[in-house]
Amino acid sequence: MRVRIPALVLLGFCPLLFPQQAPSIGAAALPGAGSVQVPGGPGPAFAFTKIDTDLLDEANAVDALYEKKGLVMHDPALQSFLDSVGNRVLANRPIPENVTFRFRALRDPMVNAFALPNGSIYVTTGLLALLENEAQLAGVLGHETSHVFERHTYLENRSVRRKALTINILEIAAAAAPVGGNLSEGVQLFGASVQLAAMIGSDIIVATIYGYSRDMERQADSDGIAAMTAASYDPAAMARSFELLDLDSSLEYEPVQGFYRDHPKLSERREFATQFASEHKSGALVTGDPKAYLDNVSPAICYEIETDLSSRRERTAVDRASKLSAAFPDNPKYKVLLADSYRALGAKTKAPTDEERTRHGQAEHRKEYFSMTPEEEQSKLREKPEGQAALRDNQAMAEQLYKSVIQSNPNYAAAHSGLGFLFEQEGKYNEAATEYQTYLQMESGTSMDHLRIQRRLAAVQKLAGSPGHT
Amino acid sequence: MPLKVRILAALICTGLFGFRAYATTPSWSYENRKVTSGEFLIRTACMMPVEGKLSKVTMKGGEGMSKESENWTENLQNMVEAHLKTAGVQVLQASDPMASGASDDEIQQVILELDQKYGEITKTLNKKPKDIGESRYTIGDDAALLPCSAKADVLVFVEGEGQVTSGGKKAMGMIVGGSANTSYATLVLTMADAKTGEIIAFSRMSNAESFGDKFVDQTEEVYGKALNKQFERLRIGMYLDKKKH
Repeated sequence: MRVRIPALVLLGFCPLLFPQQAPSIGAAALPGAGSVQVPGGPGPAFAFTKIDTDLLDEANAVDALYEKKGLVMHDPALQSFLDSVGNRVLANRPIPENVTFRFRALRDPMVNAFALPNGSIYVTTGLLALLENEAQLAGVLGHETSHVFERHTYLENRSVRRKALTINILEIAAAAAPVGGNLSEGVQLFGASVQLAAMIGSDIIVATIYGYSRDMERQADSDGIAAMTAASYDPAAMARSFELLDLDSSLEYEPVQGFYRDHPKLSERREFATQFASEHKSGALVTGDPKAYLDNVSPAICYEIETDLSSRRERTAVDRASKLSAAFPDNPKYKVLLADSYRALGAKTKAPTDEERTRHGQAEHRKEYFSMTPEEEQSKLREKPEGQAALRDNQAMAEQLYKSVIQSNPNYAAAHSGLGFLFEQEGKYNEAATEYQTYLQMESGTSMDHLRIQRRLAAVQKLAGSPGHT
Repeated sequence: MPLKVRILAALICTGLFGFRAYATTPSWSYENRKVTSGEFLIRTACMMPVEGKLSKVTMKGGEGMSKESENWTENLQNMVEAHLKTAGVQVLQASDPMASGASDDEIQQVILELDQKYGEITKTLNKKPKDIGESRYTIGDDAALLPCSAKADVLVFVEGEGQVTSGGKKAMGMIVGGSANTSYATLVLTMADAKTGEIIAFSRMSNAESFGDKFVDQTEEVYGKALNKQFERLRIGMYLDKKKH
């Protein structure tokens, strides 16, 4: 995607994905469930400087930019759900100066959540689609709100500026030293990694080399889990969130994932959450109904599926659409999305093959992924018998799903256009033409897809009439 | 080189950076032959939202330039549109619902989806741009989902990326001897068939010389000539007639 997360967000961002040490249980020293105390940040002790107000301005500008780019989802039901979970986690804590909490779903497949210092909490559609229940979302929001309460972005920004100066001084020192000179190997390596990263951007250097402050992450984990528990959410859900982050994106050659997902410290954070949960067991704690969660975040998941299909992550699309379709089998929209996903899968298997799972296989496929267009990739897969078999299976599954929607909802236009695409893909041009015509009869002449289907209809009619086609 | 000499050199170069230079280097440009031959006519263009990203590198680290980026984005959009119009091309906006009755949100979603597809295809496109000549790249006929596609011949993607480096950082760059510490600004212009999504032109114009941060407001001086050259190459609008005569 062309839209990138600005540097500011890298500073303020989070947490769930950054490699950090597990928070110390002893430091939290929290009482049992129902009487968990949630720290409310430094409060009035935090004095704003010019650097901080500049950062605040930039945070507001980032909010405006996201809005302008259409990245913020404005689905009323989803927004209401985010607000209700967010406000429950906030409870009655006093809101710090220059903060207005706003919970937003951001159109971004990267599994991520982050807080801006002005109180804007963004959860990406990628993360919303990954989580399983309301309590896991509460854990995420608890963690992010803690960063705001504790003024972490401001503190990190001040710290980063000091560190960047140090980096520059070390860069000069490393450059001034003759090769194989007196500086220790460690310093030279350090300088090299900084210079390499400097080609990308100085903020990222700090994020990648130094990492987001471990103490801050530890604190946000600790405060976040306390906040969710105080709001009667089961803290065990946070441990499960860490597991999900670890499992995510094993389906694709180019996984969309956050920074440092594989860092071993993630397991330590999971252990912390598990231990906290075992110490705060209570029948009053809830995780929320997974089906209700899916229903609430379904606009984000549907968006994710469409994005997956636009960006060659067909397996992930099948996975997500299967989840929605299994939970709501009578929903034609979800079934058509699943059919679209199987159709897009083409000659690719639903899950990575054994060969793809090997290190060599992974490397080869990744190389091909970057050097081939989607059409070329499919064409190469179709050369192998297993690719042909996968194509047959996927097309059969897609056809069955489209037809099942048409049977129960004959006027569901998207099922007809989808089936038309499938028949066209299979070379069944007459059948494709029939489905396109049905679609065009159902949809108004001003529908967004009208022009495309008209063009496709003309093309398949031409092909159907061409010599050699039966 | 002794450290003292490097510092002296850095100071001299920092002084030199004070002088502005706007020579634009058209790094490269690739297009499909059906465009240059005049077989594919470009009379109407639909502008996708322009993306201009600027960052500033100082001795204190990276700094956001969100306001400057916004200004630059607007300037780039105005400049490209003005040049298209001057070339006799009618300019439409991708966000315009026209007579489709589509909601803003629906159009926004299609724009994001096309952006996503464009981003995906540029991974391979950047590696072998000359394959545009073989019609290798496409964002698919989803391009036709945009209401403007009905009237437009091409969708125009414009991306700008720039880095402004402070004097101190440049001086340090001279001492270190690396090239990463110079300011730069690159403009990428891509055209896709508005009906089929096929990428038919892809060009990159970059200003590799040091120019401070004035290029944000002076996009015309920096890219104007290169853009005209590119449009002439593509024989868009009046340039097609010009060649005929």
